[in-house]
Amino acid sequence: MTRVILCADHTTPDLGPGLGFEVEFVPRLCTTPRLFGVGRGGPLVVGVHPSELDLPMLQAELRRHGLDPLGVPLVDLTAAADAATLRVTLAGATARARAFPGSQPEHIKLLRPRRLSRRAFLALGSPVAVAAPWLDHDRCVAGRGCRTCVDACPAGALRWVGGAVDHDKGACVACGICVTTCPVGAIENPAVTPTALEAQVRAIVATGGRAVAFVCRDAERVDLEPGWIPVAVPCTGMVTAGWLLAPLVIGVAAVTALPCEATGCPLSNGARVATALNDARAILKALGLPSERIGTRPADDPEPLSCTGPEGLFGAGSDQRVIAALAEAASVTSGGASLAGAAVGSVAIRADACTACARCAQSCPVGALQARQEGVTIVIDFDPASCVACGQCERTCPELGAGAIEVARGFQLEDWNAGRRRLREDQTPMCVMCGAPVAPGAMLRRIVEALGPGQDALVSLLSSRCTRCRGR
Amino acid sequence: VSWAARLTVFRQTVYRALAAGFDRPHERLRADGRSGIDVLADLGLYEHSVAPWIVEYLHQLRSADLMEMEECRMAMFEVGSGTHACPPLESAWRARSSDPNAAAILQAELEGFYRRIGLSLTRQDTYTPDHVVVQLEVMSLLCGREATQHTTAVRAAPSRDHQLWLLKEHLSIWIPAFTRHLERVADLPLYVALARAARAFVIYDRDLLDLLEADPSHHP
Repeated sequence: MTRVILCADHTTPDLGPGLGFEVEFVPRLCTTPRLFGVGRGGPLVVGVHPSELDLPMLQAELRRHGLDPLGVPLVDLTAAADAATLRVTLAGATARARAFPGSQPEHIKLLRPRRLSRRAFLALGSPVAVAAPWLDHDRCVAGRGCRTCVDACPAGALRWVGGAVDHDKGACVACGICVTTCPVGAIENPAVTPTALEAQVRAIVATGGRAVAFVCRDAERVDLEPGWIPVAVPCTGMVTAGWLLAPLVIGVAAVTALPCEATGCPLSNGARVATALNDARAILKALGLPSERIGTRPADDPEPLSCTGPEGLFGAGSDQRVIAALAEAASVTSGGASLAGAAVGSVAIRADACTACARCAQSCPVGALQARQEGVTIVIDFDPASCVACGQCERTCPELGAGAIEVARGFQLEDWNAGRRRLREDQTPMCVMCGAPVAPGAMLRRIVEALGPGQDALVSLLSSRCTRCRGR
Repeated sequence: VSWAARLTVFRQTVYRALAAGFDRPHERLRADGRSGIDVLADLGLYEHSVAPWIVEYLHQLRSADLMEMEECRMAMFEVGSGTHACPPLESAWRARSSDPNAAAILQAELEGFYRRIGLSLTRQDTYTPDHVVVQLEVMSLLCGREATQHTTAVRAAPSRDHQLWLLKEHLSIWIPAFTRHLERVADLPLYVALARAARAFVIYDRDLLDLLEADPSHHP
């Protein structure tokens, strides 16, 4: 069974019986952490008063007991407005502790403690270990030109070097924004995995929680009204529209995310939080659902939406799954919205500017754009329900200057329901020597235009033989 | 004893324990495993995020079967081919260079560095300068020098600079790849634990020294 230990230094509300986890109160837990009663290993949650906490000492004590500090959620006892809120918060935290996948050496980032305890001040004590994102190069699609994480990183810790992304852990602020922007889920952070987050929200719903607020892990102050259950993340800048909507699918009645500015966090990602909140509201509005469930807690405390949402609501590409589940709950099959930051989009190709080179399809990290040869025709088709609006196809298009391709962030349910559709097709002459496709007709016409008149022999060679056979 | 001096002795002890694991097994290993956790705990082991991996390695060391270890070590580190091969040499793990002399150049660079800090490999040494045992032993020795400097109130910067160079230019570049492979091919749990501990500690030590460098108040 998961154990919960709470600092007993200040008044803590009576949690009552039937909690589903063991609770122990320890005096002076924040100032001089000692976990005498705790055995080795097993999931653990610790309730603390952050302003008094000696975090390096607590982490050392957890390690001494065979526990990984990155897998022990710290619950802010000062943020819980009443006993009911604290019960639900602790239930969520225990579910998150149980779902902790374990950490690797690469996941750890060392920081100087923001607040030095008296002991640390005198002895210049150990640094604090926090979970840092780690890039799985086997899953990363930077080789195809993707640099979504590089563009999103607010600290400049990610660099695109020669077809690979380089992560500078020293510059990284461990905000986790790259984790939620990676279109293929190649960046992981053990402290905030999609599975653990989903387990936490489901536990909150199961114990009666009705409103969820994403808050920064390092928030100096969290002023939440009674009823809001805090869910700590490395930085609320990583919260996407999909993350805001996922709890509604699970059964929460209202969701919000507190921007950095409201909690004294130095990262200042408030603009990202505002974009995510606005996108989530726009999605709800487009589906005919009450948008006031995002960012505020409706006064009449409405019933949760009745969704039969799938699992995997917080992982890569989950925005589409969340929107589809909400549309099903609202029995809506048409409508859509233009969005500012959500990872849903659609691609349009202008046939008069496109040469059908298929670079867009080759670079698409999620396979929304695909190219194939059907006899003498090259076909580029598109699945709008898979597009994550990363803009990779735009960046790699050689005819971008001519406006050949355009990505619009947003969704149309009619397009999603219609499934994969043909965006572009072009005739391809076949090689007279080997029978392989030579090049799309539009591309050959562009080459002929560039060569100008009087190049008939060269044009004939280029349009009748493939690249392999031209030298023969 | 100041925190900085205690930290340096801790780092010296861990580097020596890791080097011993990669070296030919000897009778003292099990005793080192038994006493290691207590010694390191006194030096603040649990204040460091690498503690779980170090503890696991030392636990494995306590019950090490020396014959089994030697068999496994030979197959991985000495034979040089086959499914278990995992050469413990930096030149085998650095990015492949088209220059056929790349390994010799790397070894000469390291040998020059060792000479500059007053060390030389003798003819009796069977390990090349880029061998994991040599590099870890040198790190341990440099930490030992820094610890002496702490106690004699001499600024430890020269020794720290040497450690940073060896860590940044060599150990932290190849040890992660080498130990990840070792983790996959090792049959013995001890070597799996050693691989994890070595990877964790090299990554940790580099991050730690970077942090100390960035904050001059933490220099002794």
